[in-house]
Amino acid sequence: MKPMKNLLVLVVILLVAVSCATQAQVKEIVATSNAAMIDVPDLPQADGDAVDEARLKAAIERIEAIITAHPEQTVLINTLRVRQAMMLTVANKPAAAGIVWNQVTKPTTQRDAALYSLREELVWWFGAAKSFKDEDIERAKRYLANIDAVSKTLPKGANTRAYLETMRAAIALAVANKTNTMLGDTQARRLKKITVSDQMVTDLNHYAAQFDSQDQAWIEANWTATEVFPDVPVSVIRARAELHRLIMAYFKRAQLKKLEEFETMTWQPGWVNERWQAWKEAN
Amino acid sequence: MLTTEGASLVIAIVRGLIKLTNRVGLVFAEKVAVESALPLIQPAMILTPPSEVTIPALQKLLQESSPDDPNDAIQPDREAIRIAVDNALGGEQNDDILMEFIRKHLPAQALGETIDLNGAVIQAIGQARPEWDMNDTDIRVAAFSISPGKDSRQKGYPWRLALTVADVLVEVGAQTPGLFTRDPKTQGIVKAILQRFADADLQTADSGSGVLRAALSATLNGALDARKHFDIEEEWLDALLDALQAGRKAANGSDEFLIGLVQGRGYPLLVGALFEEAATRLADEDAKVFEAIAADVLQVAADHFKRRTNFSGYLNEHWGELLRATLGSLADHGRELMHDQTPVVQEVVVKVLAQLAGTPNHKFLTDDMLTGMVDAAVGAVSAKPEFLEGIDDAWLQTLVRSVTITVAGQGIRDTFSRDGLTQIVSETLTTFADHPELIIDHPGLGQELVKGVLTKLSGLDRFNAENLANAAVGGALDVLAHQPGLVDSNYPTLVASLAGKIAGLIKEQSLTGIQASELLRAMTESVAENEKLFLEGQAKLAEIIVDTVLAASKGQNGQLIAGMVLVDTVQQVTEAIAAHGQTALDRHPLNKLSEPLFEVLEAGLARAQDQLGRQLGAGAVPSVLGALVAAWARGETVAIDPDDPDFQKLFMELAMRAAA
Repeated sequence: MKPMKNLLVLVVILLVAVSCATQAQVKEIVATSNAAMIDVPDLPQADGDAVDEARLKAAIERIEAIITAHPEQTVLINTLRVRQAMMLTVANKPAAAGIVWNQVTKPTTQRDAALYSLREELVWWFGAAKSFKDEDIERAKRYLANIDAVSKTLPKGANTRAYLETMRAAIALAVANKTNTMLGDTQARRLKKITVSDQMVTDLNHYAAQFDSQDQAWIEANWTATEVFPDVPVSVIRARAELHRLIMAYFKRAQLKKLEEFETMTWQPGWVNERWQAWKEAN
Repeated sequence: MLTTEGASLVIAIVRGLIKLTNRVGLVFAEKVAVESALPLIQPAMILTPPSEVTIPALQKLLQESSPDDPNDAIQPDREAIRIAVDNALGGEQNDDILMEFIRKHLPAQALGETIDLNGAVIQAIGQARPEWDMNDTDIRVAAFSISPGKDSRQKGYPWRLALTVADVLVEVGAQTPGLFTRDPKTQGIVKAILQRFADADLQTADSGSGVLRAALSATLNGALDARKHFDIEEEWLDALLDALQAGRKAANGSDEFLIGLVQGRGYPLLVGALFEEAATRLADEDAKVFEAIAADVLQVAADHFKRRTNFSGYLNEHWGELLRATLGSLADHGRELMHDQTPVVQEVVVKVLAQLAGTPNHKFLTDDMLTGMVDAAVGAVSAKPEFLEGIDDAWLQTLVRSVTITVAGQGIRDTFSRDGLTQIVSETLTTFADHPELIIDHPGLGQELVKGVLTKLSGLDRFNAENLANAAVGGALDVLAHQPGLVDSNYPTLVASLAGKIAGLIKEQSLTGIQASELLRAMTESVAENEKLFLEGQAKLAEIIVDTVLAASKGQNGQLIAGMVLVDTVQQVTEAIAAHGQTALDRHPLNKLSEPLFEVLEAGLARAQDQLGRQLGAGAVPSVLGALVAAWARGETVAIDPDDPDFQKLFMELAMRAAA
């Protein structure tokens, strides 16, 4: 079978250069949709304050055209549908995003499968992040569990896992912030605050556990001053920057919510707690 | 040309290609879609003030406003606010209601905190990579890209593509020749090429595959032609492909360079030659030597390719022939050239290339000329032990330039066809290779002889010029091969001079082209018979003989030596003078020689006319005339008069001797 396999691979290679028209189309789709996905108001210094509807529409239509032209290419279609759905999700078009997500049947890659599993959570969060409601709290708690379940299936260090864990930590922070801990009854308030503070510690610990000692060193070095780590991949810088920013947000919320009114908070892991002590002194 | 099996294979592949074009195109499109990164940002999050902020603020608002003041703005909401605060203090989750009152009555405290993770990321990357423009779309896409991770399907793209191909092969199975699928030799070629060129390309399947197609098709073409006759020696194919791969690296991985190399017409021929020489004349261990030489040649080619020199195009076209010549040299001279780490033939080839690169005339060298040049150089080197210690650069330069200067002459190129010129030069170089002693001390012999002859023939019509050139050069080389000592004389110059003389006779229509060619060839041999007489003392003697015999042929009885007999007559007379001419020259100075010689020939022709059909046959006339001239040269004739009895007696004796 080995010679046969070699033969087959050879013919494949011969064919690579023969027809690239569809390949070029897909490359263009990837490029235009990528550009549309980062040209959103959630990203600072984007072109405008609102989603560029025309750009988004054009990117969506390009995908539709190639899907229509190749209805039998299920892998291609599913992959492009995930891309299309995420474009609409990020642009906060929940209805359209929902319709497209429903057309996805069997995602191919780990990333696409994870996004597809959490499509409901993603669509909801991109809408709720800026206007988190009381009614979102219980839903968010369910979603936190769902995200955790999907994240665990991904390799530690994978981009997608880091992305989902960051999202999970952000949602958990929104829940903590929204949760009413200002009860009139002292005992009841004590219990509530301890519950919320414990949950915040747990959630931040869960998030920080995704990182290693090098990430920790980076965050500590960048806590107050800028330290350049030139050899670090961009994806790692992103994950560390998000962790750093969220730790600061957790600390600030804990302080605003006066969670140490009755008991001192002890963050985990230990290096986070050390940062907390230092932060409290400075603030 | 492809063999029948090869042609069937190609047809089957083409059929498969047509069927697969769309399918494979889609598979690669799918690959792009699946493997592309997806830029995913986190949504900006706004954290509203928590209950620890809102409830005290609303309590304070209630306390600081008067329920009796009808102008107080909170009056309409006062009760609702109080209830909301009470409910919150009672444990109700009513933050949204509290926030509505905050926004309405305490808008300054309603501002939440925006958690902008994306901004933090851009800032961090901007600090780590200060040279990056973080507003650039591509950089932003890269900053937020999420890689696809593992493909949930078990097989990678190469394998899945292979399965796609397999589907089509099944479809065209009936037309697929067994050669392609079952023949281990063909598969060996495929495997060898894949091992060298496939791996990287499979990883980046949308680029660089052209080199595989080119390498495979060209190698298969060459190998399929050779495989019927020779076993395919794997180590030789490996050597060639390794050298090609080394060349590709040397050209900074340029596929353009490699495709150019293998698409040259010399490459399939080189592959064929490789198998032929390997199967018949070369030892297995020579493969490594060949690889080293080929790698050197391709290194030179790559250097010129990178620098885009004029020589690059020439090398691209001719490298295959150059290496074929090298193979031939290895086979011819074998182990004697491999005494060291760097075989002499390797040094010769590289230095020949260096010399060629230095002259713009290289463009006039054809494949055969190039091959001949390497052959000649290697032949000389193998024949001269001193060269084994290192090639004399000046010697090699003279050898190379003797050829390039010859073929670059404008007049020569105007007169001679490319093929004609190639034949003349190649045969000359082949003679040099077979008789290296000719050029060891005279590397410029090619220029001296060939350029001398060709220049003299410039301006003649092409047909006659080429015939005369072949006669003169071919004849001279034959002579030189047997008398290499003549290289030190002015023999090449004399041959060139004779060529010019005879070319003039053609122009005057004194000779036909055929007569002229025969005559010239005969003269090149005859004048060599008395080196001292023709080459040292009397440079014009040969031309005087030709002119005199020709004049006699136009006389009263000249018809007896017309046509091809004329050539024979000139040769006989020349040989007679070669043997005895010095005695005649003692009596008659060169500038006076023509007259008595003409009288002897006229008298002889008169007697021949009289005796024809009695004592003499027409075919014997040239030899009798030659004998008569010899007798005259020796001083044996008293009177040169056809009516003189002594002359008649002498002529009769010579005629009878010729008839005997």
